[in-house]
Amino acid sequence: MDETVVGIISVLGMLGLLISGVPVGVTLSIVGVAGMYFGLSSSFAFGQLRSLPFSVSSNYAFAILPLFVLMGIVAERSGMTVKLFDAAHVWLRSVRGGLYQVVIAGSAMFAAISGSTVVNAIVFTRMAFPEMIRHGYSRSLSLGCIASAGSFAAMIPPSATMVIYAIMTEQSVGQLLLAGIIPGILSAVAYALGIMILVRVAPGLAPATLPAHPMKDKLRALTWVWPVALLFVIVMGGIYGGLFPPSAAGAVGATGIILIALLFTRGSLKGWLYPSLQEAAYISCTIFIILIGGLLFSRMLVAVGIIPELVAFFRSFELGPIGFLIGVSIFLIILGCFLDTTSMLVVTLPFLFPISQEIGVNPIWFGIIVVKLIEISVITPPIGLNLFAVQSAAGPEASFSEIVRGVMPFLLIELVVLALLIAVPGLSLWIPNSI
Amino acid sequence: MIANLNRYAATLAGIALLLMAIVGALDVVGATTGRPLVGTHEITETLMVIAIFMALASAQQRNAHIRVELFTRQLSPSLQVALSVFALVCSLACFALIAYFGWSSTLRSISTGEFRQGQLGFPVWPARMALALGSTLMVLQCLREIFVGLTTRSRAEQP
Amino acid sequence: QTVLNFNSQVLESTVSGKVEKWFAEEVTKRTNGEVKIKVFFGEGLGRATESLSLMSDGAVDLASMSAGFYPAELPLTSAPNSIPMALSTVSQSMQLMTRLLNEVPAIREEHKQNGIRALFFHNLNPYYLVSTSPLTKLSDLNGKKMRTWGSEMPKLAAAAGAIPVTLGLAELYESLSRGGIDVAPFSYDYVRDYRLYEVAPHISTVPAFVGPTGGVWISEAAWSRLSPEQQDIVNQVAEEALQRDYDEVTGAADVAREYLEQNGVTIHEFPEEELAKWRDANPDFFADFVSSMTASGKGDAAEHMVRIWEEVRGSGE
Ligand code: NA
Ligand code: NA
Repeated sequence: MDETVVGIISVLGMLGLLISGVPVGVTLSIVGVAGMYFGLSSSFAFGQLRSLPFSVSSNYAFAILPLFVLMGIVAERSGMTVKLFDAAHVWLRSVRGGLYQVVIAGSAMFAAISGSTVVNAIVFTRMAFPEMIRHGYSRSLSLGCIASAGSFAAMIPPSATMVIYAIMTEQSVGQLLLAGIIPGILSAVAYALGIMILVRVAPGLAPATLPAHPMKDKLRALTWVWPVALLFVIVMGGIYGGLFPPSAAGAVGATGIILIALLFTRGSLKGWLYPSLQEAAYISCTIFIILIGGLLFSRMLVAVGIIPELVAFFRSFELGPIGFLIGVSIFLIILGCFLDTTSMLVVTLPFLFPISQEIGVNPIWFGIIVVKLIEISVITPPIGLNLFAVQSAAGPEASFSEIVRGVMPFLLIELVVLALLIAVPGLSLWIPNSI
Repeated sequence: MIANLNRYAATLAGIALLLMAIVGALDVVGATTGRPLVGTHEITETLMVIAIFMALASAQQRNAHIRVELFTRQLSPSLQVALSVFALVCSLACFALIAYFGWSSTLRSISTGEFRQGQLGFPVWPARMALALGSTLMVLQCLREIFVGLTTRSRAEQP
Repeated sequence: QTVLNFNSQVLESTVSGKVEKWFAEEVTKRTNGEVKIKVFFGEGLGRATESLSLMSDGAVDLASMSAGFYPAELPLTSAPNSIPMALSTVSQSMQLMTRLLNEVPAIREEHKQNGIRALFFHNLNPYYLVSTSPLTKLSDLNGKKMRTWGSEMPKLAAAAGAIPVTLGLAELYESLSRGGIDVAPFSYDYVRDYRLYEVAPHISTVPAFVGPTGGVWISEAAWSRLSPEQQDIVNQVAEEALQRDYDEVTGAADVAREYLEQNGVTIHEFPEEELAKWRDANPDFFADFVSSMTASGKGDAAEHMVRIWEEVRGSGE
């Protein structure tokens, strides 16, 4: 069958199954395998079906995911995060939408430990979402804020996305990591400003402010923060002190929080450890099924050969540097609605990068733009990993449409940040050039 | 009985997760003191397959698998039941295939003595079997839910 | 027209990737377009650890993958991928692989059992030790954290008193920069390609690993779809690709070495006597290989392999 036909039928089939309420992972698997079967061969489809699910679920690089999920859930179940957010509330109750700002700042800090946007989204859904609801925040915007702020993990090191980009394009990893500092902070600041404007325009999105607590109470509230703060220091210190690689941070974080929880609950295992393990397993399982489906779908698109065709079409426009970057943005935003992020990088870069060099786009700058587009792709429907991660971690109360609605303002902010990064190369290049 | 099996499997998944955390942490502690644990990667990878696939059927039972419910809510109850049965049939088909290839790989793995590249030379078949077993439990769970769905539907259609 | 899918474990921009691309295009050219090989770089159709299963299921027709991922399925073939300090030059390694394929029938048998056929093996520049601080004698390695892989490399590290750490390639740079590891065996060209010199400016000429990297394989099913003339062409192109690969790889080492020295890397000649000390401290890797193969009934083939190994090592090239 012709590649374009397979591509169009697959995307339509996927949308049809998703709308009928078929689970996301199952939808992607079925369409992926069917596309392989009809677009290539039955042996290709069955061979992939045999090897891919096992390969994904036994990949050490993914082990951080269930472990960080466990960490987030133990923090919640053992009662640590209630205290943490109570403290945040004591400090910020006079600021409208203060807990949104806590999520944004917290996710940016956690990004310095985690390289996975999905991990950030799940951890903060477990830790922050119930507390935000308890304090009267908008469900939809809370979910959207958590899903979107989770994307910071790709721009702020450690970042597997950046390392892959640097190696594929023969650029300096160090320079690229440095280049991500300003764009990373810029995104967080833009989110914070966006929230400030949003809660002013639509006050219903956040609870009414209360008079500020006296400093004495605020200082006392700080003592509630110690368990989470201690864990953060252990994991952060371990990674940046060279005690362990980021891939081991999940195990350290999970074991660390279990030990701290034992201190926190004075040695009682009752009511938190077993339920935490169960729930972490459920959430990890649902996310992995989506990862498996997403890869089956992506591999199908790659194997059938749709992407080179799309790139050839894109190339036919013959754009200048800014036009090229805008074109790449539109191209990757659309592709990112359907593809898994690593596939997107590995499949499109060999085509896009040489064009960017012909046109004379600085390769580090281009890398930052690409990473930003990867960040955006995890929150664009219908296939946005962070959307599913939040949905999975929030449990049956959260619906997909609610999350998508909540993400919309942040997508708008992301587009503004992207435009700034394209318009002002200095934002990406100033630090690497001055060191 | 299926519900019990699912519960045991999910407990196993939780234990695997706990062990993953402990093994990884012991390795880090060991490496700092000059004695890293042997075979951390191999053990972790095996435990991960168990953690994921043993939780599969139980997650289905709790309706935890992610779906995009944009339109189904506004439909009539009987149409909703029909669509949910359709979704179950899709899940069934998907995991029946994964289970089939999973069992066949397990047998292949046992007969070739497949083991992982690493210090322990850890056999791969336990992980492959966890995948096959978990998917099989998922298939049974889907069958059970399809049966329940069809019987509620026929009851709804009676005057 | 026969269209074959090729799943490659390397990126298109690497030396191996360029040779694979040349190989694919050349086969098409010489068969007058009758055989078209579509290469999917960067594990586009599956991780390298899936390639063997994908080939035996007929899902992909060709793959570049390291035999080292398959110690159970390819125990003999994967030995040169895992035994440390076995050789000292790229030329020896190329000779070794060619001779093993031609002279040890058990190796071809092993491939046949898995439904695959080796076309050629990529060459790999010697893996010296890249490190954050200078290593000029064996005792310098004491207590250092060294990146290792597989089952034998950790023993090499332990013999020098270093702490073996298993680590993925993607984490190498950041781990060296933060002190998560201090030493990694790597080649000049990879140190440049992975930018490790930015964070680890010392290289000691310890030939920690010299051997092949991934091979290019075709499934027997795909092979049988080719006419005898086409098979001859593929073999011929593979032979040329091997030579081409050798020239490109060894050339890349010289260029990379110069590049590294210009970019602040100090290259330390590791003294012969210190290397000898290290070799003495190592377990007898070859004897271990033979005894473990004997346990699975392949002892004769393993001994034969070790004899070839010794001859190649003695050839001094
Ligand atoms: Na990060
Ligand atoms: Na998306």
